[in-house]
Amino acid sequence: MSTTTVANHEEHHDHPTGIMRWLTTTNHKDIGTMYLTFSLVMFLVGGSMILGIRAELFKPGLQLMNPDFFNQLIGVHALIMIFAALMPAATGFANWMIPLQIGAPDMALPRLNNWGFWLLPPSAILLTLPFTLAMFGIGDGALATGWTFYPPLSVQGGIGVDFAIFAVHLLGISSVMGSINIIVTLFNMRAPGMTLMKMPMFAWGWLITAFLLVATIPVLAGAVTMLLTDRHFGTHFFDAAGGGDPIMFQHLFWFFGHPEVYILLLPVWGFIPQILQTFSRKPMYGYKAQVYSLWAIGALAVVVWAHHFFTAGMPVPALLYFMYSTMAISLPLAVLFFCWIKTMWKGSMTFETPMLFAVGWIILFGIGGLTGLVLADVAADAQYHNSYFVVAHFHYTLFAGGIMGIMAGVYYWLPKMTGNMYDEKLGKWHFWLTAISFNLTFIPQFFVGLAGMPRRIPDYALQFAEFNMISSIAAFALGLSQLLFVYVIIKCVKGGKKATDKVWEGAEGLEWTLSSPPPYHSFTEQPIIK
Amino acid sequence: MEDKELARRSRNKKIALIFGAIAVIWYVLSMFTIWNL
Repeated sequence: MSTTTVANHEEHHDHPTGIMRWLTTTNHKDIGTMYLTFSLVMFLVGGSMILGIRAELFKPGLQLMNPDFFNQLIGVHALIMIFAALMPAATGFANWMIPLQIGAPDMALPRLNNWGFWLLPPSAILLTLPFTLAMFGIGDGALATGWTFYPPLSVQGGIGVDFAIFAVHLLGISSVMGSINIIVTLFNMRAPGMTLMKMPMFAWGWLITAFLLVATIPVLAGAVTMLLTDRHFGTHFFDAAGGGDPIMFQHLFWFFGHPEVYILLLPVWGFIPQILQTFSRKPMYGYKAQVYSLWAIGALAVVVWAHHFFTAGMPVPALLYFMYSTMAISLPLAVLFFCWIKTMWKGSMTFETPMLFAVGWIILFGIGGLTGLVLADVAADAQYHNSYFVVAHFHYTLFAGGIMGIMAGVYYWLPKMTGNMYDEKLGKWHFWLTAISFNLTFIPQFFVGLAGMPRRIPDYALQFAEFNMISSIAAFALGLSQLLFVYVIIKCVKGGKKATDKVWEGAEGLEWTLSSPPPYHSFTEQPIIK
Repeated sequence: MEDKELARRSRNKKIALIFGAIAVIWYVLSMFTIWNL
């Protein structure tokens, strides 16, 4: 790809300063920064909740908290990590990078963009406020149903469930608005000459993510709205005592819940190949194959939902359909893995921090994917279901596959965003500490899960004690390692060696043609792609 | 503002409205599935 015009680097200062800049901004980079900062803060909040859980699980018996509070921490940890940490991080990158990558001056709908972000802080408050209220004797704490809101527990639960239902509505509105903005931007704001099949892979990943969000978030919103009417307006949609069907809630929830996994992963599958090509110094392998595979995964994502509750009971043909369709996802995913590895093959590879995270990501996310295949097997799932094996599997998928991928993106684009190079030595320390402590946390959970330890319990049988102790110690090491991540980011934002415009020797794409950091208004003259 | 830019902004709004309408209709429809399945 080459451009015939260089972007206008002239700075404009016709925007408010101080707090008003952040409250009223419609600039995609400002909003991207706010999303990323919000995500980092919520990542630490959600992470500290799970450290409370791991402290309780350090040894058998009840030590630190009552079982109800334990359940509350589990549910809110998941909701925060999914909706307030991972999704906003991906949206932050989308805001920052999509206009820069497609040569657009900003997102298509800047005011909608601002609104989308500012719905997030109230949602986070709604999710966590019940903890504080309970301290003053109001209500009985946050939702204790797990993040899945399954009835009848959620119909019977306290005000924490109502707070979470409203939070999910707000988060859903924010996500749908963000998705619409991204779809419009990618359809209508691309630089002249940038056809769809010339878009960077990150843009493709996000386009499919945005479609998935528009297709699935309304269904989640519908399900929790009905839950709300069951709780307060006398309906019995999910209440078996009134003729309702609790399994129907599971169908509606997972119609959203399974695509949600891909919503969290597709943006990462977009920028990881870009990182691999940059640090392998050769073109991305199989661009078209990757795009078609992303589409295939996006399409399959919405037709496999019931594998999350095989044991709830369904007809055998349905079991077989959901098993085979789930397993079919491994085919396009295998194509992606092949393309990622082939991109590195015989390249002039160097292992700066983003590349370390990207390569580590391939291996660890691979483990997440392969253990998912095991869970997709109906016969085997009867043993694994609701065990710690599932917990370990989805943390390999969502912590390694999601968060470590996001970290690769942070190190890759941080110099471009801030204009300063981060501390490479500390970045590498962060990678190794994270990778080692992550594996030490979750490998033991595969073992205890296989041996029959159920998830979401504060107490367990004695034979699981040693593995749980290892897992808890490693979880604290993993948590502490993330403070190093925060330090590296703050240090980079404050100063450091100046980054060049291109930053990385092998970097390709329009974002690298702008200065580091890019001017407040980027691409005031549209570049033309040949 | 150029006509071309105005036309683009108008197209932006149209595409956004289409997807917004899809999301709202889908939200309402999802609540009706409960009686049909």
